[in-house]
Amino acid sequence: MTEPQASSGHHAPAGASYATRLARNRLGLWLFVVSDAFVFVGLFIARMVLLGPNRPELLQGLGLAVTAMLLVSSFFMNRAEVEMAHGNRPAFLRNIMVTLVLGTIFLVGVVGVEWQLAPFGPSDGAEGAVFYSMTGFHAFHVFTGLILLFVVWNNGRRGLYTAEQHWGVEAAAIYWHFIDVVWMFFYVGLYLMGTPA
Amino acid sequence: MRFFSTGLFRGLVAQVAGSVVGMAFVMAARVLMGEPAWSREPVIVGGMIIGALAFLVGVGSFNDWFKWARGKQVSDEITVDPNKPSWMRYFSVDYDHKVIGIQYGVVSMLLLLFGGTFAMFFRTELATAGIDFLNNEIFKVLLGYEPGPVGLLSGGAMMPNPEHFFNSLMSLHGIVMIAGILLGVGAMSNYLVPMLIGANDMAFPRLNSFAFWVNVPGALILLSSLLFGGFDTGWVGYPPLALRAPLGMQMFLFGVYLIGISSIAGAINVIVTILTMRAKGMTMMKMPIFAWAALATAVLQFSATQLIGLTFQLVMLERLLGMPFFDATAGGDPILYQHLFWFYSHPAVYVFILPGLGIISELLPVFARKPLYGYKWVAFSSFGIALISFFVWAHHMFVSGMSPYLRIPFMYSTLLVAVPTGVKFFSWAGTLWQGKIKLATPMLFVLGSIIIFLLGGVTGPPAATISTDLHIHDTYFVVGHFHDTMFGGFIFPIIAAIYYWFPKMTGRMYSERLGKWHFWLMFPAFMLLSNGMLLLGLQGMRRRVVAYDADLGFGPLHVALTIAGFVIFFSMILFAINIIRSARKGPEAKDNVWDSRSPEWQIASPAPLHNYAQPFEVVGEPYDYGLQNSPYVNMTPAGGSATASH
Amino acid sequence: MQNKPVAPVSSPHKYELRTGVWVMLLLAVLTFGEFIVGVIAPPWGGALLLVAAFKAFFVVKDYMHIGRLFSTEEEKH
Repeated sequence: MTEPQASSGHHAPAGASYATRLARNRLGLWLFVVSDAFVFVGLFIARMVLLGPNRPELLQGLGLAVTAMLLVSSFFMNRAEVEMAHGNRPAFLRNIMVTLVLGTIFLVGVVGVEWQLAPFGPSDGAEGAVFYSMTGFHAFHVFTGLILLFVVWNNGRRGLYTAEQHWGVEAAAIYWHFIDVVWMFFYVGLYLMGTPA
Repeated sequence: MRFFSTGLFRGLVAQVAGSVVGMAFVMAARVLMGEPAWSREPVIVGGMIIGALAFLVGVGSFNDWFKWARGKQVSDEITVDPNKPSWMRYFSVDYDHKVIGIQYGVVSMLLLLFGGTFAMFFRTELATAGIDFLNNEIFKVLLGYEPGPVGLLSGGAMMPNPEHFFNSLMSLHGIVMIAGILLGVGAMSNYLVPMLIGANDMAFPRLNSFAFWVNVPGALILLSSLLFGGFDTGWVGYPPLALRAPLGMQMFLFGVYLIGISSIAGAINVIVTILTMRAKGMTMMKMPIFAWAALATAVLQFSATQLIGLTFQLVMLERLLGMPFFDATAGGDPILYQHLFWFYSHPAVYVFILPGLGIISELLPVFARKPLYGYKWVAFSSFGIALISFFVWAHHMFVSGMSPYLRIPFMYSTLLVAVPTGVKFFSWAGTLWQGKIKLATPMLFVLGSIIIFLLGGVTGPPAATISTDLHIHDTYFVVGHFHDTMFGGFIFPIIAAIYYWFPKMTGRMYSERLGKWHFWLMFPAFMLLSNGMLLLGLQGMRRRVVAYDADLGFGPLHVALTIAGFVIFFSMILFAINIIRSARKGPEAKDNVWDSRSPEWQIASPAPLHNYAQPFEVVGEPYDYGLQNSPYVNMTPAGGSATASH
Repeated sequence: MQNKPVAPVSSPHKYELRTGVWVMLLLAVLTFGEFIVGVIAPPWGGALLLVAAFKAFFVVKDYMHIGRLFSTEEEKH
């Protein structure tokens, strides 16, 4: 079976080989990642302008825990992609499932727990605005990432990816790691930089 | 009625239904949280957002992506149903870049028409010193109600008074024109880039189609702001005024956000297309020059646009949830908004003009029958402008209360823009020098745009220099400067481009006589308009005001400006008549009307479904007009149906 | 098409998995270090951002494989 995006050989307008399209898709996705990064840079700038040397009062233990979840999920995402690239489908499915679960725990940890326990609401001063917008924009990306992971898991389960053709897996991986990278900076910005207000 | 089976119709129905569902959803959520179900702003905004998504689902933009997600095969073949009339392709999702380009172009022209109409209203008002036209009577005729609070949708303080109506029209003029310009940029990039570089389509046809269709709900929502009280902030939407403006503000913010998504998606597509899909032998330095301009534009669009999207979302959040980003009384910072806003919006003006300047460079050699002077410098100057534009944003904020020492670096970086722009002028002058100039309509508009853009260029430094800007900021001088750059950098070039590629799009010829009338009405009228604005500004006329002191002596000039505005509007109607009439019954055009060397003119007009039946090969320089035996492209390379170009 | 249920674990395969483990360990150590510094000595924000950038570099290089973007020949396994 071939991957959905694969051209099945007929003469199409973009009737290029799988390799050519893979290169194009990669470039397009990376451009999107760079573009999306501007949103998060903007949010970080807003944090620096509005909070300066202060940081919101947050639960350190919980922050470290959710961060660990997301970092470890990236590790399993990488394993999933490597296994697929070597044609080991059962291991691929196992690893991507672990990623999905860890990502869900992260989302619940931030939105379900941290948002409820934070000592301020979204309209309580600059801390509220900065904290809820940064975690909110990031959580939305995590949510879309989880949808992508589920789609990839589901299509993988049905045998749509091969060792040679698995752009869908690679795309989901790049997006998921990007979310992870964003959080590395946001974790510092929200939890670690500056002095608690 | 076949219209009812088009994607557009399905999308509009879905948008209405989605808006209702979205409103119900927000109301249900509010009830669950123990709040009263009806609160005007959150409920209507919820409906607006779901409605826009529903439009895209309804029109069919997501169909193939949904299929991919479910692991189904989709065909990449563009199939045209011969039983359907060809116009229906333009009203539904279609993956052909030429169709998408024309879709962009038509919506762009419609938006420019709306923006121009708004301008005619407030320009009429400005002809007299007091509030004599946009008063309560005309208000009632146009909007059907008396100023003041009315109705379910409007709630309190909708269009409270004529001054607010003027401000809303003025703000909408600005932003609707900008939306129209962005779509016009999309039209030029989409229609021209694949043909110029020898590709048969864009790199991501589905994304391309999505990028067009997301504009439609965007434009509808933007225009609907007039029904929800408008907004009186100008097109910049500065808080804290933006936080207090009527509900129409949200339509402005979200409409622009959707159009921004289109910009980003379209730009990614353009970059990948240009970098990976050029014809064999077409190195970067042998591309038609417009491709360079489109590439530089796309680099600006795909990066900077995200920041205006973010900023507008933050304002929406602040209005909806009270998150105090920009409200100084609650810990926010209004200057932060201006920084984030101009970090996009200054590069954005180069997004508007770079494709137009590319058109000028593209067309001049054809009509001067000479090589483009300094190709390499022109190509790099586009990138120079793009690069510098990231470092100049705060020159909009010299009077905003930013630290005074920060003004100086921004003054110098701004003045630096004149260098790459000057390179372009030098190249244009060098290309025209001793050329055999043919004054067809496209060339007239190209020459017009050079003159107008020059005016825009020389009025820039006084506005960029701190000492003078402190005096002319917020006067009509800035308005005149901006209109010069927009008409010289976008309006005249895109009109030239439409005339020039009209035979390629339709296979027919436009009326040269009407085209000349168009130019000779529009050009002098615009010169009067913009120079009048500059003059008024130097005399102290403030911008964005509905009335002025009759004793200041602005009256006669304002009357002249209003007349000039109407002449421009009338000339654009001539343009529309010319285009619509000629597309239906104009005389058949030759294949290579302008004796161009460019590859798109070496194939039939209108261009066939997949542009090039076989890949061509680039064997020479693009602009060697007048040189014997120096072909640019070899349309039938020896290899016959050679391997796919890469 | 070639649906091998259990592929033989080849050496590049092992190497790639091992790289993943190393990057993970690095991330774990650095993150814990950041946490300690952040809690004990708050004003070190700039240095912590540098550490974050260092972590991000490895993720971009080894997990996101940015190098593939610039390789002209296609990967073959």
